[in-house]
Amino acid sequence: MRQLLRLRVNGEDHEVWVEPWKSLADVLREDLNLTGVKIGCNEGQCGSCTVLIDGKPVKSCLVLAPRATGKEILTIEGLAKDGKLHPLQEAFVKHFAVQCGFCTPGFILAAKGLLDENPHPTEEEVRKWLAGNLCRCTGYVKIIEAVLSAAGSRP
Amino acid sequence: MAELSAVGKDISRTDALEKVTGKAKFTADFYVSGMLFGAIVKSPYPHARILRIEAEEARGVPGVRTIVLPEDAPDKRFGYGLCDMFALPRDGIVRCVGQPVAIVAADTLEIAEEAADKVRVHCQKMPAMFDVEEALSEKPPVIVHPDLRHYTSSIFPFSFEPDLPNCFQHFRIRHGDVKKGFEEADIIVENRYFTARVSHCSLEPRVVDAWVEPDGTLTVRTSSQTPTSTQMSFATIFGVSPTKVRILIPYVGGGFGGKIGNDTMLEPLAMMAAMKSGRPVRLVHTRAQEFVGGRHRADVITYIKDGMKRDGTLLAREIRAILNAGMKGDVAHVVARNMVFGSVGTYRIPNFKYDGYGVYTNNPPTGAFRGFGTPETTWAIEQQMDLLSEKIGMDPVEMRRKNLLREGDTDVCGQAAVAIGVGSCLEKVSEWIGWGKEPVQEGGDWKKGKGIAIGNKYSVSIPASATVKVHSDGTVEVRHGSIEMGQGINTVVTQIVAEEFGIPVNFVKIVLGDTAVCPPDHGPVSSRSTFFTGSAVRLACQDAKARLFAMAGRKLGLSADQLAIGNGQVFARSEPGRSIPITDFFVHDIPLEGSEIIGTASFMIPTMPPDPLTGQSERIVAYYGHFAHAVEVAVNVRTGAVKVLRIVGAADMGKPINPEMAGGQMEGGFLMGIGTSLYEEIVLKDGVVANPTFVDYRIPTTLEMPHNDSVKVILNPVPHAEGPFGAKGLGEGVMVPIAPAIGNAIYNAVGARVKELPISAESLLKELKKIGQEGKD
Repeated sequence: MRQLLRLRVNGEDHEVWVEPWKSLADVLREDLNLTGVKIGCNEGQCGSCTVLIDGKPVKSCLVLAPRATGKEILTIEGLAKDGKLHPLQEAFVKHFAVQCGFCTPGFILAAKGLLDENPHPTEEEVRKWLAGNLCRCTGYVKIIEAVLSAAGSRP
Repeated sequence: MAELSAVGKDISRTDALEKVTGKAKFTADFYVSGMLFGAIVKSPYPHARILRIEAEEARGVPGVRTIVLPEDAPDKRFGYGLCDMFALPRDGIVRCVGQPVAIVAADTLEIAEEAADKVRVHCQKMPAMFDVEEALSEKPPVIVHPDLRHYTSSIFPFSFEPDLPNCFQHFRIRHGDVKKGFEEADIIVENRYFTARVSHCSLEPRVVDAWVEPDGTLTVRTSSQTPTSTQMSFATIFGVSPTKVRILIPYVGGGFGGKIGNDTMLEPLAMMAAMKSGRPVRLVHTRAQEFVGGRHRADVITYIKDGMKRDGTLLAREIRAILNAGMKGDVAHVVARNMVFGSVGTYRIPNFKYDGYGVYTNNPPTGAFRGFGTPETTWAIEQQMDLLSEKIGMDPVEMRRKNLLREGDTDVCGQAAVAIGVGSCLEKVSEWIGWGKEPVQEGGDWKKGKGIAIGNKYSVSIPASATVKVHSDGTVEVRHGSIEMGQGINTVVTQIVAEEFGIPVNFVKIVLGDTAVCPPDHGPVSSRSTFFTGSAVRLACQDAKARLFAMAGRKLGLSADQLAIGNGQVFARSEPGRSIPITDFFVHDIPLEGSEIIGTASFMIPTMPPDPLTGQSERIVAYYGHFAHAVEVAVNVRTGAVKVLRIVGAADMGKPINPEMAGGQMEGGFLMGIGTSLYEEIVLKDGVVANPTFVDYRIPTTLEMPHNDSVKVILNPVPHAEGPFGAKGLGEGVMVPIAPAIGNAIYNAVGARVKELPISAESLLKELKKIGQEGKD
């Protein structure tokens, strides 16, 4: 019943045998051990499973794994390069935008999707873009501050 | 007092790096070799007798390894608080839709779920009862727990009413003479308030991995807030020594009270499946199961009658609060008692009568939710204060100021008020919101208004303990019994240890989340982590330092009080050049004088149990934190929509150990307060949760929070002598007064008041219609 699936994740090629109904989120977590991809609802409503597919934020729990073949997938584990944090990761640390941390990977990747497209967003644009990611701990204040700071809009 | 080097500073969270790189592990991120996956067979009926269970077809599904039935469950009722439940219904009765009846463990989750669907539970339906006031009557249509009289409690003796068969908790306070107070009052205001059932919605769903070690140790890794009580509960349920139980708790993705004890039963269920199958078993909640079985904040009806003199002095207050616990008491039994403290910690009231009831119905279970009953009580009280002040044309802020407890006053429970900073909190939020200045109206359908409310949050007294060990390279290792669920305990502990030893924060190593190596602690509940765990850590540091000072003292010919420690040296206070580096006490990490350099301590505040008839006690809570909120809202008179435009909160939480982190908690609490005021409600239809998804149960997104420059956090510390460095706590208090502040602001905007939470557009439009204020086409 399992079929061979080729995925390119964080710049590396992988071959895994998966049931065709598995979600990309499950395959990333269980077959590739990328547990930075979190499952908060498994129904595409909370955004914790957000990854970037060809640069666009996507809720990986809603993607059938076989559909992700032939694409560039980026998870939180692939963001830091050679031990150097991405400016968004640094900003989240510096601005206390992390509490329990469960929503954090999804927010950082969603924000990267924004900044790659719109390097200097307004607060309103950041708010609207991130409305698909839920957080219960922070009230979003410091998350938004961190994203604006990484964009160079705030110190 | 000398300038502090680490405490009171905005040190970066010690776990931030792990969390932003995705390396931080939560329970579901671990892989246990040979793990089976569990699915729960649940009751489809709110009240039924189980006639028989047919599991043969399910057993025949390939990949099914074991099925656990009620007869396999231990013959022991347990609970956190009131012990009223079996792990599976050994008594043959199911009491709510969704109650676990059996567990299937299989090679994959898909197989387990398929097999669970094939388990046939034959039931005889029984009448079910959902309305709490019907349940509280002397002759209710249904008695949910006929054996209530024989139950025990694991926390304090429970008090039920012989004439009220569904009441498992009745807490009383009698102070002064309310009858006389009302006779002397010039003005009386009496109302009924209601707060809806809400769900924690922690982003991490509950998950448990359970297995039996080769030596028989029952081991569980779980997303839980309470390591020690889970351990002790297992010892009780399974009849083993606590040393044969090991609870592992990694990072927890949010708790908010929902992950206390074994309240969702997942841990014992997973363990039973592990014991029967001989394999590790994982049980995970789907998000829908979180919304159904995840323990809610119970809905509470509050009847309140206030009597006041014409000059604004409160004379008498009478409260009758009814908590709709659902089908088990458990934690709700404690909430039904403790919800009273919201009406105790803030105001000076000469005559006070309180009756709080915890009541069984056939609804899904409820439990602890941030605030533990205080927000529900405060919703009523703080709107009453505005209504009372309106009757005499007094400013609501002035009215509150007039009736506040002052330092040293005795509250209605008989405890003296100490470190009570609510007055200055009130001043600060009034100033920021521009109290007294009308908001600039923009015309059209939106009307703006301002509202204020204050409140408190107690912390119960449960001991904590900690152990520290000094290593040869000058690092200090700390073992504490709390867990990290985002509240920041590890960072706070790091700062306290760094301060005590005069070392940089990266010289502190923390070990937590394992009952096999960590000392007992109740975990982060009741806003207690900093006060209790932090104090225990501080005392343990001092214990270790005493040992070091004794050793150094012998070498330097000085006594302990002549010595200090910092930067890896023990030195003479009067002559810092006379010093011994800590490394000199060791050879290859082995202490020269023999045993390890360890400090150990526990911290406890003795309290006195309240009088069962009057609720009086000289010390019933460890401390009160104090809070004030002000909001500016815009109300659309045509649609009933409410927008929070500006929000400020001031917290007297004692000395903040890490101000930025404290501020972050406050902001999160603001939004949870806004959510539970305006948007959130678990909708139950005949005991079935009708909205178990994030689409139908709406927690606030980025769009519901005011803009960053319209959100203000004010830390207003009044140091508490018994807290570490004067700290108290604020995890829950931050959301306590928000709902009534919003309710008061709406009234200020449009003259309509909704007395039931959430304040929905429909309910607000209904009130607007009553006063002829709704927008017309």
